Amino acid sequence: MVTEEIKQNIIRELGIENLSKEKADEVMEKLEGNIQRTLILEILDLLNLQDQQELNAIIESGDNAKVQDFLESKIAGLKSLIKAVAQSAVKEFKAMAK
Amino acid sequence: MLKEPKENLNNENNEMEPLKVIQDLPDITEFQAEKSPEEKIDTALKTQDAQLNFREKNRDKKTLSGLKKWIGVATVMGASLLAVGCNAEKPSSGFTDNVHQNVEQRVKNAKAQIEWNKKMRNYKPGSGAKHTAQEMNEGQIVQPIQENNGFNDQNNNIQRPSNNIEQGPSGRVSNPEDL
Repeated sequence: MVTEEIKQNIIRELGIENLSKEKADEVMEKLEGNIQRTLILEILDLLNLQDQQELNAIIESGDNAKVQDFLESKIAGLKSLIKAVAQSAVKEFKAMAK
Repeated sequence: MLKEPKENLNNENNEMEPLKVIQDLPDITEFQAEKSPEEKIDTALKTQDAQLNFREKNRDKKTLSGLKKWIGVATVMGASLLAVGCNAEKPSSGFTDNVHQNVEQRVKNAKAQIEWNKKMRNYKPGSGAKHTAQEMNEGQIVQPIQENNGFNDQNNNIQRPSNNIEQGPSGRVSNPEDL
């Protein structure tokens, strides 16, 4: 859950304090979406074809807990990957928006 | 009869020295429209979006949407990805080791204090506030502290503070090897 304080921290970190509330919300939503898409692509890059097919089968079952178990078994340090991808996407955004 | 244009014998007014002309030209950067911060942000987001579209082209759409759903409910992240990326998952304690932010925060605090002082200078307590203040002034402390015996509590199970004040550790290091 993103509390108001966390939201303010994000706004400060992104340097978008001067934007209107609506615009800042829009930027955060889009950036969150971009980070998610980047993470998905990075995860898929780490899986070989066979693993990807297996993952597809698990996804079709609709069991998100199984998806997570599968990814954790195939990708060592999934948490670190998530953090690295998120930080890198934010850094890239900040560099481009400078 | 056609008149020939008069030749200006003093060319000083119409022609300038080439160097002077160049010097008087406005800086070329003045003509380059500077993007507003909002435009820069939009461009950054669009660029990221375009790059991701390109990378997603050769991927199975079902896998992409399936993983997107998983991300929505994944417990492994604990917070929004944006918060993770900004190191903002945990509420800040207010402490910052960034000198500029530190100064900014202190100025902000000082301004807030001045504002508060100004407001309090003109503050006149209402009847409710006066009444409460009077009650507080006249009210008794429920658990008074006895001078020699600590708390005035008759329950023997409760450990009372000692009357003797003992010296705590000073924090001074006598032996340099302890450092």
